[in-house]
Amino acid sequence: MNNRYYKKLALTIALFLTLVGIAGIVKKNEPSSEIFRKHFWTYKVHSSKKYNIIFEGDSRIYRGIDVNSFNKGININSIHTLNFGFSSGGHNKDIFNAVENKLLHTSLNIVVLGITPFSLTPKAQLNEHFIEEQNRNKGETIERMYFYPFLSFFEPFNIQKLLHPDTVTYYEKFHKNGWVESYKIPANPNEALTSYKKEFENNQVSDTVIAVLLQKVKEWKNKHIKVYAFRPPTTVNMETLENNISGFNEKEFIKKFETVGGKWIEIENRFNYNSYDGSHLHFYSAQQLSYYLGEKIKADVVPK
Amino acid sequence: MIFNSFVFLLFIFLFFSFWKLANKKDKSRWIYITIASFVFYGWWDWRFLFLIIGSGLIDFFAGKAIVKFPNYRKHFFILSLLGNIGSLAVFKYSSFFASIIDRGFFAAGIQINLQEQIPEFALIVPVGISFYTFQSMSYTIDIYRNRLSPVKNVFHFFAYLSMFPQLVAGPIIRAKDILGQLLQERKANAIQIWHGTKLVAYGFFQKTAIADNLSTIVNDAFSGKASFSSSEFWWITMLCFAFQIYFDFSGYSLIARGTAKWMGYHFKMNFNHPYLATSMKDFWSRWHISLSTWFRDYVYIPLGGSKNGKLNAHKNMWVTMIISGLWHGASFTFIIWGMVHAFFLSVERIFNGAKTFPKNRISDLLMFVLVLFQVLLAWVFFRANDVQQAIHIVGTLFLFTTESGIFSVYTAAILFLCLGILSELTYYLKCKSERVKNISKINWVEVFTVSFCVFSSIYFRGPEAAFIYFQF
Repeated sequence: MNNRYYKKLALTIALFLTLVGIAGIVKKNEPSSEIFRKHFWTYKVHSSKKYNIIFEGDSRIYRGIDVNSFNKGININSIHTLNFGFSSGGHNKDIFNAVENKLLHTSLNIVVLGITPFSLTPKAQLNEHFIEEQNRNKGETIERMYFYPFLSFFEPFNIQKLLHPDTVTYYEKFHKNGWVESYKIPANPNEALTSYKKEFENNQVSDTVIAVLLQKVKEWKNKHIKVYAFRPPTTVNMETLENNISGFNEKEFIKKFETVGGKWIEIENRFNYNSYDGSHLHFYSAQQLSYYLGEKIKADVVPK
Repeated sequence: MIFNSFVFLLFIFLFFSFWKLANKKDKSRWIYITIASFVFYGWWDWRFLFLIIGSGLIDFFAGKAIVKFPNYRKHFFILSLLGNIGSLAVFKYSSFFASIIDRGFFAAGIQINLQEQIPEFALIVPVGISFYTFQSMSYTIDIYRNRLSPVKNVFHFFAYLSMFPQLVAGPIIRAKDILGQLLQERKANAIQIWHGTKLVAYGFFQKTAIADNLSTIVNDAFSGKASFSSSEFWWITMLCFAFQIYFDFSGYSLIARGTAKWMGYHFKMNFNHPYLATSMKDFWSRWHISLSTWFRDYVYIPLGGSKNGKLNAHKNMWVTMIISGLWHGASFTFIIWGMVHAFFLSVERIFNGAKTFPKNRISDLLMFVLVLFQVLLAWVFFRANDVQQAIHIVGTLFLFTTESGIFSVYTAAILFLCLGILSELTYYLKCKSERVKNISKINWVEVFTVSFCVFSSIYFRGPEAAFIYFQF
């Protein structure tokens, strides 16, 4: 009697393992791995690694700054750079504290701020994405940090994609340095316009947010932390929309920013970069921009 | 720790590695279960272990004192009730009631901002608080009613109260059902291990493959992210939610029961295919059975139950259903959900339910459709973010508008809905047809079904989500 049930159990395990083996081998890698995504965000927030240079900002930063290309551009030995961008990220105390904690505090300390109009709005200051990750309970954090990298074999099938291969596919590769290498097929450079238009209706660039940011820049300067900022390039249509309805005055902001000791990086030929959705840069444009920024900062920090 | 996590698999492996050893003696068994359960719970937030330990100790000692000091038994009983209801009031309902008081005073022109005075720690609802509190309460209530003797060893009590398979989302096990089981070294035999495996496999399949895939359309709809708004869309969404919450919770209960079976214990069934019910009363005898029977035994019957006339029976049922709504969450939407069910149950009682129809397949089908319709309407209030949203959705449901494109955008969710319906239909056919029943018992059919369920819960799992009932 007992043997019959043990036999069934053994057969079940054998069949299950066969199915898992077949699926794991046959299955194509998903264009955007859920497992790596979770590991990526948890690692970005909870890793204890320290850096000399930290990029801070929203999704245009975490998709638009490739740390490796930047490091090639800056070309300084043993430099450690982190892309610390978050979805709908703002510039406030929460994120500033996290940035300071991740700085190496050696002779070279640099913070590079990605200034998008949305990142200066009150809504962005909620920093929901960052806070959610920061507040993740310890158990889950440990699981995502240390176990997830070994579980990619068990990445599930994307049923919707299997049933509709023609649907829009977001390709995302998550790099440990904080960059999400991204592109979309098919690309639509006007996709984000509608949502941004809606977003700015009741959520405008705030003077209070700018004041908090400038105060921090001043503090960092006093602590010998160099602060650079730039406006991440996007499409002409998006920039026009943002300039018209977000309440952002770039010239005025640059003036104030430089008054408190920050250094503004003007991106030359800013519309030569490609965006796949009208907001974020295609990965190869992200690499170009990052290399360019590296060169620009090198010219400033390394005496000729 | 949640069942659908890698850490739980490690935990369960470690637990059963030493279970045989710990199971031999009573004390080591109880201590082992208690420590393992505390690790399981503390993995989420160890600080709230103090709450379980605190409220548990109150009930443990109150239980002893009720028997030891018969003259003061009522006092100790009240102390235990206050401890349990007090912790619920602080951690689950303080913010809700403070907001009501604030609004009341505000209407009278006085601003008191009571809600802002609540300490931050009380704003976090500890996972599973309603489950373990009710479980703990039933222990002292049963002792007070002379239906149970208090246990002597504190670990025996905590092994019952905190037993990890059911700690955070039930089933709400009764002390009288499990304390006895904990007194013996119960070894799981091959049949129990096989049945436990089947339950765990079905549970994971229900949760990760079906419920989590259904969550995509439901979350989009209720967060306003969906680009559809017709009646057709909302009927599909509500049907998806009905199956999402059922499979989510039933999945948890099955995993809990299966894990308990591996340990050699038996938990009662918590769900019995509720959407096959042919009356609202029948629905409540199949849905979350451990909770509905808890409310029946500890609220409805003490209130007077069906005695003292029909009007009183209706009143008692309404009170019970409203409390049941409030048990689920501190929000008016849950209270209205309870009231909607109470209303349908009242109507059914007045018309004497299904008994007005002759019992045949057609009347069964009609009643089944009617019950599903009522349950879906009630679920709107359960899931809605607020009362306004619920009213808007109910209004939309009856506009009878259609839209194109829903099926192509949510193909996966609808496919899993069909799979959910098919699994319920298979059960129905198994009950009705000997042939189907016999086929399902064939060895290789069972082996294939269980393997497929485990395989699907890994490779066809939906976006990972915590169990819905954790929040209660």
